[in-house]
Amino acid sequence: MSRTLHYPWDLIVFVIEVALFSYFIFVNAFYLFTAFVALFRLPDFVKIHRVDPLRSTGSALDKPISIVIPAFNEEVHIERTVNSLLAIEYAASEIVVVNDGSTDGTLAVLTEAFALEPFPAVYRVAVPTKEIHAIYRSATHPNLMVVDKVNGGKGDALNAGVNVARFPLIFSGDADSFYHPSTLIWMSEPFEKNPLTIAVGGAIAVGNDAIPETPDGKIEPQLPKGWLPRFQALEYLRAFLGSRMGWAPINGLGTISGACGLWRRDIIVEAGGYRTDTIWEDLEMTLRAHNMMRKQKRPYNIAFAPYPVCWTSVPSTFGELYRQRKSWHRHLAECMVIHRNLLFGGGVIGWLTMPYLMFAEFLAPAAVLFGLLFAVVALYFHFINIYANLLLLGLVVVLSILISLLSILLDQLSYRTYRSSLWPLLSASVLDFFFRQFIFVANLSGLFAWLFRRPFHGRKGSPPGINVAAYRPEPYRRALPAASIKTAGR
Amino acid sequence: MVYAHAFDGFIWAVEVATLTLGGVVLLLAIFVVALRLRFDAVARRRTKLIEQWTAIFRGERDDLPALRGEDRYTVLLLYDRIRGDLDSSRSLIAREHADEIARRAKIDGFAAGLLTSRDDADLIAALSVLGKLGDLRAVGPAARYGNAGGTELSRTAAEASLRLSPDSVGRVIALVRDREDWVSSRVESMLRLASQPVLDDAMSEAIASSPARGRIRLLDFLRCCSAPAARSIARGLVSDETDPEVVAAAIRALSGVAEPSDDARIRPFLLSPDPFVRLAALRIMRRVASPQDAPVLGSLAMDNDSWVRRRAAEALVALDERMRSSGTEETVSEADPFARDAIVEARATMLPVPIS
Repeated sequence: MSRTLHYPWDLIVFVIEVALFSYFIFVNAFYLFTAFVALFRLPDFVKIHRVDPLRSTGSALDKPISIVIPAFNEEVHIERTVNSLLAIEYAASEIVVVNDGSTDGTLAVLTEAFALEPFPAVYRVAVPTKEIHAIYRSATHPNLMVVDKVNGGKGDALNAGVNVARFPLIFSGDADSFYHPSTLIWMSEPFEKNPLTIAVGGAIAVGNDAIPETPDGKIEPQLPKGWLPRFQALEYLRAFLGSRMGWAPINGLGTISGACGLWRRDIIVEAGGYRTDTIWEDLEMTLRAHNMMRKQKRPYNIAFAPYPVCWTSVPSTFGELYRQRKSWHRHLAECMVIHRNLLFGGGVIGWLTMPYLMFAEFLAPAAVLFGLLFAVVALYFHFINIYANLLLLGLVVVLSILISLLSILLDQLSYRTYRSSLWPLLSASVLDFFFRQFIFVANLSGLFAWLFRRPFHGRKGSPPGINVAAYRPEPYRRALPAASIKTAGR
Repeated sequence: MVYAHAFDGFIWAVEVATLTLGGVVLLLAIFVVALRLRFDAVARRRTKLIEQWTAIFRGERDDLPALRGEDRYTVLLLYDRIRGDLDSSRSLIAREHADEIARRAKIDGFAAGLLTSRDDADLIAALSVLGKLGDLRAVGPAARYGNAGGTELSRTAAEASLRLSPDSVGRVIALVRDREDWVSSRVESMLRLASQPVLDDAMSEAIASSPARGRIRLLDFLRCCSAPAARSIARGLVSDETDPEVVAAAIRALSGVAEPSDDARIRPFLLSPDPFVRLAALRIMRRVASPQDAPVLGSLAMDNDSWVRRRAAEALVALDERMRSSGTEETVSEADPFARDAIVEARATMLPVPIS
């Protein structure tokens, strides 16, 4: 210390320093723990599936899957996305696109491209939703249905899809993503191998410059050209290979991504369907499933398929990215409140996942802000010297690079998601620290927006799926299933 | 002052940690780059090798280049894939040619060497290839790993057993019954390799001696048996079994091979108190129902269970189609408009869609 403090200030400063450092160790211990679990599991998984590849056999014994795609103002991407879904190799699947009150030409594009005709579908309302105007079926692809409904948000659109879906497994996807032909073969495997499986998440890759422009094109697995999408490509590797691949083997997976998740339909219905009063729906649904199964003392498994099956477009401007992350953090905050009973409530989810989500994700912006303020004050009053601050900063940067490198290593040892040169990814891992500061600002803004219940203005071109004109949180309520039978248009 | 000393100690620890981690990061970065360069070189070589050997296995080239040590694993996996694809084709000549090439390239010897490996992936590759080559060196390990290995290893071992010793069918079926972690579609492909009469006998025996849960599992694979055998086994269970879940599974298994005479056998199950039994019975009635079944199908179209309603509506529409009539709506009560809607939906689903 450059200036001598006296009791009790020396004790207070010391306690704060120890607390901040312990927090820093706690957070990075989680990252390293999951990365190392993945490092032990992933190469074996890849090796086994290299010698025993999963391929479509066209067997009637494959579990039938309904693919549900909510779409709001997606006229630009929807045809390409549906074409990629129609190209999926799987014996029994149907595609249910839910046009969630689009104000652009989404329905017209679908009608034109897939020769939609009104279809007199009868479905059971297992989860209440906003009104459905009509259901259409493709004359050229009989397994493609389009549900046209009043705008109600992504959760509501998914619920409408769940109601109309006929099969016991529901694949939830995004309208602006592109899917690998083997998506369902790979993702349904955990359901076959373990009857306790209730949901499977798939890995998502950044496809800004990989998704084909034409509907019948193929994926060119290239890294995005812009730096911002590149940072996100690295971030996705960290999130999916370095983190979820580590959480899944211990049944501690906290999120099944909304863009690529396969669920047992009965679990979604039993849980009351997707919530419509939160900004997003995927994290909440996953935590609700954990919560429900634990409360009922039913054994279950939530698995992860590490294949990069979903290629998605990520924000390419700071503004879009800021809004996306702000909304993600708000959703995290909502979920932490809704499912607070899970925290330290037993099991891996209670003792590891929830503490991680609560302290290393939800409260991280507050902790970092406090740490920064403390550093500024400490420097101003000369409690600690510049060298000590720089040293700690150096340790943070080095650990950030280490975790990024571990994720790149995992990717190299498994699927080599991006076939282009490795240098952009490596340089992104060095500069990633600064990108993360930007994300910290967005998260902090999301935290404050949640605290002060600021209305959320969804905007096309920002996070996909947010389509409610102005979202203002209401007191949380649980949608209760009210089963009834309905006919489209009746 | 005590805290000042502690702080100095803390700074020293952070210095050491930062420097150590910095070194680790540097080494890891070098390792990742080296790994990528190696993988790129391997991928380039592998692409060439696969192109070359695919042509050789398919008989498009006559030469047989010498195989370098590190290339043998790639060619072994290539043979396994090509030979697996040929399993479903009827070309015996193509299969024999691929096998002959594999033997001449000493793939069998290399695979046999892998049988001593402790790595599951190596064992899977070896057992799969030796099974396809009919190499008896794999008989012992295949029997050993059939019930002892992980999901993929045990299933591959069972498949190798089926290929190598036809008398192992009974043992493999017992494994199919007990190993619920084996992916059903893969099991189906595997069982199709067995000789049909042997499989028919073994399946009949296994179903007769299994508990209810095992019977339900095995009934899924009755489709791999010959139609007469499948019919006989399923009919037997439909008549004698008391467990409703087994009965439902037996009716489902029978649905693929049912004959018109089965309608009398199945009809009583339309009134079963268990919805899954009614549902299973409707699968068959969709194919074999006669006009006398119309009233009961009509009442099932108003069942409490939504799936029973849907399937009953489909059975009514199918009956109309077969009888060239259009009276299905008459069997459904006026009071239940949704049942009528279900028939309209079933008609739209089952009949060809006009392409506009």
